[in-house]
Amino acid sequence: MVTDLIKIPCVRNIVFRDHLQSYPESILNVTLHNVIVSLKQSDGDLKELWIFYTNMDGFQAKFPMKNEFRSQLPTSPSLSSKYTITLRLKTLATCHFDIPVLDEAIKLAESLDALIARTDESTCDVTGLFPFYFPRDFEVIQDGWTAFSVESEFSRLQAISDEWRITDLNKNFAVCETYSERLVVPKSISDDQLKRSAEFRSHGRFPVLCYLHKSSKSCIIRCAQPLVGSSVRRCKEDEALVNSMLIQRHKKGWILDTRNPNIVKVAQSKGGGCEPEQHYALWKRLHRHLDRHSVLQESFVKFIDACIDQSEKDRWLSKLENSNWLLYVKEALTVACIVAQTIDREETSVLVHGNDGWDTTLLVTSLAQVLLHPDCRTITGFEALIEREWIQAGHPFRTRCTRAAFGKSSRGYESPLFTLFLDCTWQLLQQFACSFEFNDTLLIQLFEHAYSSKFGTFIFNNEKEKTKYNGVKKTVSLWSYFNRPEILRTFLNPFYEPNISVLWPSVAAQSIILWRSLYLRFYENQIPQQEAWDEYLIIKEKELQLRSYVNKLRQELLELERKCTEKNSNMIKMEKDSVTTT
Amino acid sequence: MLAYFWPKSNIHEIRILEDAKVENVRLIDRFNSRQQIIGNYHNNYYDSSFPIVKYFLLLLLRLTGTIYLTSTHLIFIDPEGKRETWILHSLTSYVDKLPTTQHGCPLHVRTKHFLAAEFTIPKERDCADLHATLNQLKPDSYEKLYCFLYQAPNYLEKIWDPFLLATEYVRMGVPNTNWKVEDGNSNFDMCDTYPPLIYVPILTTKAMLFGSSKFRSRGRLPVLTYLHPNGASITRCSQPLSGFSARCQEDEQLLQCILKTNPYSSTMYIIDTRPRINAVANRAAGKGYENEDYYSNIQFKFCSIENIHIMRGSLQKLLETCEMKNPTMNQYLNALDNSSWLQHIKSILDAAILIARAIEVEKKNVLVHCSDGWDRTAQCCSLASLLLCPYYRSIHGFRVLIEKEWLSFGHKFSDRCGHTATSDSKEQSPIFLQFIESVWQLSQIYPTAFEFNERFLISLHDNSHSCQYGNFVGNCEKDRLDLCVKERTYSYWNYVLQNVNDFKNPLFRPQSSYASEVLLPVINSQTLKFWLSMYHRFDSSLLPKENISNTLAHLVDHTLSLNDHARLLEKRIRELHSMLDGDPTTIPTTASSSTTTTATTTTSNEDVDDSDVEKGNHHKKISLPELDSGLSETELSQTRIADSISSKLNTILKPSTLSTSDVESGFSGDYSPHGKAPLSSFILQHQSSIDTNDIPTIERIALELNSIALDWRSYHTPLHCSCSLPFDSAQRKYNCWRCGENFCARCIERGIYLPGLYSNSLAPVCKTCACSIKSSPSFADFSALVKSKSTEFIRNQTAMKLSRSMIIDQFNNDR
Repeated sequence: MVTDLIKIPCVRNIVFRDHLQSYPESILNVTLHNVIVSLKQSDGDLKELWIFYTNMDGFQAKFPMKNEFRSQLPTSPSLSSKYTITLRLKTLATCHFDIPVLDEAIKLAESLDALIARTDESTCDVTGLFPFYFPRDFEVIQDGWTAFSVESEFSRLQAISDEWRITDLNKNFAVCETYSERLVVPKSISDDQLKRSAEFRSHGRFPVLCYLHKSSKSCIIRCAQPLVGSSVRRCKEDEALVNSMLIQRHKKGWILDTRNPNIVKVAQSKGGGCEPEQHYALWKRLHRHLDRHSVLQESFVKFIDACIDQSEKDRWLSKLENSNWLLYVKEALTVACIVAQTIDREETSVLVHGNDGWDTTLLVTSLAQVLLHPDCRTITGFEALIEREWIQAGHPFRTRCTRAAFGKSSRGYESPLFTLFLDCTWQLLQQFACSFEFNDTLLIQLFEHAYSSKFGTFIFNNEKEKTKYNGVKKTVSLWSYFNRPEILRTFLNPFYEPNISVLWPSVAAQSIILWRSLYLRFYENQIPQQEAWDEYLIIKEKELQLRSYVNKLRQELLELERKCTEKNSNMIKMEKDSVTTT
Repeated sequence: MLAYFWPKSNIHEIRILEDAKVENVRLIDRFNSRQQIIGNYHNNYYDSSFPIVKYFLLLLLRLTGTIYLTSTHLIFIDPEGKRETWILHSLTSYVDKLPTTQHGCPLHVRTKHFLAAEFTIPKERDCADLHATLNQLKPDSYEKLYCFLYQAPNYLEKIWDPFLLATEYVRMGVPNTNWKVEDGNSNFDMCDTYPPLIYVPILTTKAMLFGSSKFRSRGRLPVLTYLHPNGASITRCSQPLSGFSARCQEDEQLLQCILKTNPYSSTMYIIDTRPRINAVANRAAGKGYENEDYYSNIQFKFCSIENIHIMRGSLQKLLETCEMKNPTMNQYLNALDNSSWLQHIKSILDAAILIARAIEVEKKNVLVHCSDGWDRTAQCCSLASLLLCPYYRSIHGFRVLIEKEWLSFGHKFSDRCGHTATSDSKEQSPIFLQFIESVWQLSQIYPTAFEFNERFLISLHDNSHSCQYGNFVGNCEKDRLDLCVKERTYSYWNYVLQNVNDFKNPLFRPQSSYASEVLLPVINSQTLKFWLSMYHRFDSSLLPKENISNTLAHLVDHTLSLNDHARLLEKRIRELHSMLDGDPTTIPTTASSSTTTTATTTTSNEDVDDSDVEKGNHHKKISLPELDSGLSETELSQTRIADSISSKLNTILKPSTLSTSDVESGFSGDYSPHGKAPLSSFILQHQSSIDTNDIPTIERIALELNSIALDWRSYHTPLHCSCSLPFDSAQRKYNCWRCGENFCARCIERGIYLPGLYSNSLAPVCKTCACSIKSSPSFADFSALVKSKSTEFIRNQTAMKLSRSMIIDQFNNDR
């Protein structure tokens, strides 16, 4: 029984501390999905803080033995009865519970240990997670599960080119388990050919359309690596499929492999590889390596460690440099820019893949779309992009986000790729502050929900899993929650001016900066920044109000002027009449 | 790449040196070289494996232009004449000629405001000449500094708004029962780098002060610099000449006097801003630090701020980091880390916060010194004051802070900034820059707390080096007095005052707790940012493409123009309403209406813009039959007259004022001959004596509405000014208030009165609009009228401003 895991349901009289504040006399309740901390505010009111186990990245318990403790701190009796549990959250916050009684502290630690472990993918299937128990507490205006369909995106495509169709080949996930059921493919290729191509691609992830550029009609295609192997196998259908996606035949397309040639060689010896040039003669190959998986995860762990380390023992900048995180941000942006440049300037198509086509591939294709497509810079457009390019494209959110920056990775499958995507988007937002409809609140919210959420959007590994566990019926979509006026309002960028052109950011090292409002938000006082933000809103609001006021006054004035003229002409008439009568 | 702009009209006044012209020069831009303007955006190319690279060579070859040398500037003009790069000779820090390559001879020019230009000159001889000339053109004495040559644009007057140290001390409540003013230094005989008046504890004697000054390096004895409302104070001095064992009774007594000025604390801090090891090393040279055994009730602390030489080296490394060509992320971070620049900034801020904490939290007096007490001490005292006192976070207060801590107490600007070619390069150090950057870092932490913006800080930094204004010339007040800068140069503060809108932080929220209280930030290494817009300001491709602070300024300007316009519209609507008010119900009694009429008449006589008179008269005629019986006979007759007049007036005037076609026809047309002429002429006389130009005629209203743009062009869309100058994101664009388009600073005229504004203030207008508005027929009378009134107004204002500070000074002198 799960309830057996709760060794102690309630701990009283604890001190709750985070980086900026401390709340004595707090009460901690342990429930099935979260701990609820009742904080005593300075005005005596209680504030409830819910911390979900899915949000807990790890914890440390410091229980010095009694005598040892005494010898260390003989002079402070108030401290002698304090046992501290430090909780590291996936939202990057750190909080401490100072518990007066050792026995309670031990029991709490045991409970937490078991309850956190229970949320792991290896021990608990997804239906045990809170989103399946979350009672929706708001009115849904637009159901997020149905808001972004393939059809709606396809209708946009149709306006640009009629060479594409939607295929139902993957009904019931028959061909590819990690794709969604309906996919956009070239009209000229039959379902049979697609099936053969799927057999030739890792995990059956055959090439599909993900973006069609309006002006050049060139497109971004993504897939998994071809199963070339050491015997250099080929698949005519796959070649035909890939070639049919090249719109302008006179120009060669680019195959962008997100691995370096050495890794490709290793992959080839294991049956994978990259499209050989002799078989794909219409395409040129480009290798731009992007780190992934455990390398990226380690980088993230080091990076966050550097960000929150305030001991000043090591130099911050050298720690930042060692973490390599900003390097990965720069690299991801650069590759996305190359794709965008090829699509928009060179006007030819790009096919992107790495190994499985669900990690770095998605990072590149989604970022390139933010650069290329103005719609992706609106709130709904960005949500649609995430739904399309990350969720439906089968980024394994559950696996990748089991641990964030503090947890020990048990199986090594965790990787902060989505965080990297959000960071890159934030860099763009930083450079093009007026071209995005949203502000960084949306990005921070997405970061938090990707790791731990009440909603079902990010808890599945792919569409098939969502269907299997009936996620659409049993959980609430994050988009349903977001797309309500009171929430949307907080995401709006007051300076937004739709910018239809392609964004060309600077990817120079000097231009890549630390996303303070995410990584340091629990460690720096955010109130001054919040105040500045409020001021932004006030200034913008004032301008808008005055503008409409002046407009109103002008109309009123012209109306009055008209009346005056009328009245005068009447008067002149009367005068005239009187003159004539006399 | 725009260094210093002069209004175009002034260009002909610059004498171009004979033969000082080199043609076919290429300017290579470190980051922009691979840049091409495509469609709407500057395009960086991301990968060299693409064939597009071929275009670049073509583009680069076309980017040739001509260098002109004037006695004050180096000017590079590109072939289309679109971009001009102006480099002031006094800002040039470094000119270097590199070995000739196949393209020509490279010439590197670096400036103190972080421009690094790389020219390639076809002929080596030209390059050598240019190199030699540029080095010669650097001012080699004070007399040749730019400020003594500079002819400011017309709007800037050679007035020095007097700053008196006494005013600032009065603001702090000094002299009082604990502190007094001492004139012992009036001939600079106690200390030549201190101001003539110094503020010391009330218990001190002249002998004590002289004794102490003899015991302090360069005579810089402990004097008051900031007094906090809680009674705790910051005093500053230089290191004592203590060596290993020397002591000085007067100095010890002086410190005890300082301690006694604060009734709340029995101890005080001495903060030596140097690292301990430096202080100890100084003892061998007969200097050092206070021995705690000799000074009772003292808490001694070292802050590890490094000396000027280390800071100079650090900046050098920082600039090398900035000049790295295409560094990888790790190379860049590594270089930034190795420069230690941000660490030095942090150590300065840490020291300032330590002082501020001691004052605000511990309520203890703090004595700050370093070696000579004019570098680190100036940094720490001024930053601590900035944290403690909200006044210094305003533009005016910040000026006072700089006048006090930096100028009066003798920061060696000329030596530290290397104003003249003769100055010792070992004396140069970015001390003031570090202070400016520390303030910037604080403004990043508290975006709403400072009245001034980043542009102000950058401008302040640049002008401390450029010597365009006399303020920062010389090493101390005495130098500036000797050079007579106040008589011979323009004042930077006057320039700030004239352009104050450019320097205001739109986010400043005076009522916010951060703007009105003591700031005690927690600063970690992570808190500090690299100041991209200072060190990379000429590399526009590195900067954010859409600049929020400029967008904000744009919004604030727009709000300003709309607000002013709205007030005029409101007034016009009121006027038209009263014209239209043939409805008797709106006028309760004729008596009261006639009094309002007279009231408006009087106000209108005082006010420039009032046409209520005739309207007031116009519309009273209707109420005659309904006259209140309670009115006295005289009143009645008066109103009768008034109304009869106004009824006539209406019939005559109205068609004239409101007919769309012609004013004349309404007047001289059908009606005047019919026996009403005398009356109307009387009215007319009466009218014109008040204000013929401010009648809301249809033409008038149309003119007013046309003169103000309701919507402004989006801040980001135009990429070129109408003069074809390309905009980059760092540059401030200005909107024409009339047409709403964006223009560069040079294409905007500021001396135009727009009819659509209520306040008759000068508005920025583009040249085209300025022409069309000047040529419009009804504008001439209007502007003449407004001008006469408003110049008077402006004159009054300036007079008031000046007299205010003079009154305070007078007050001080009397005391």
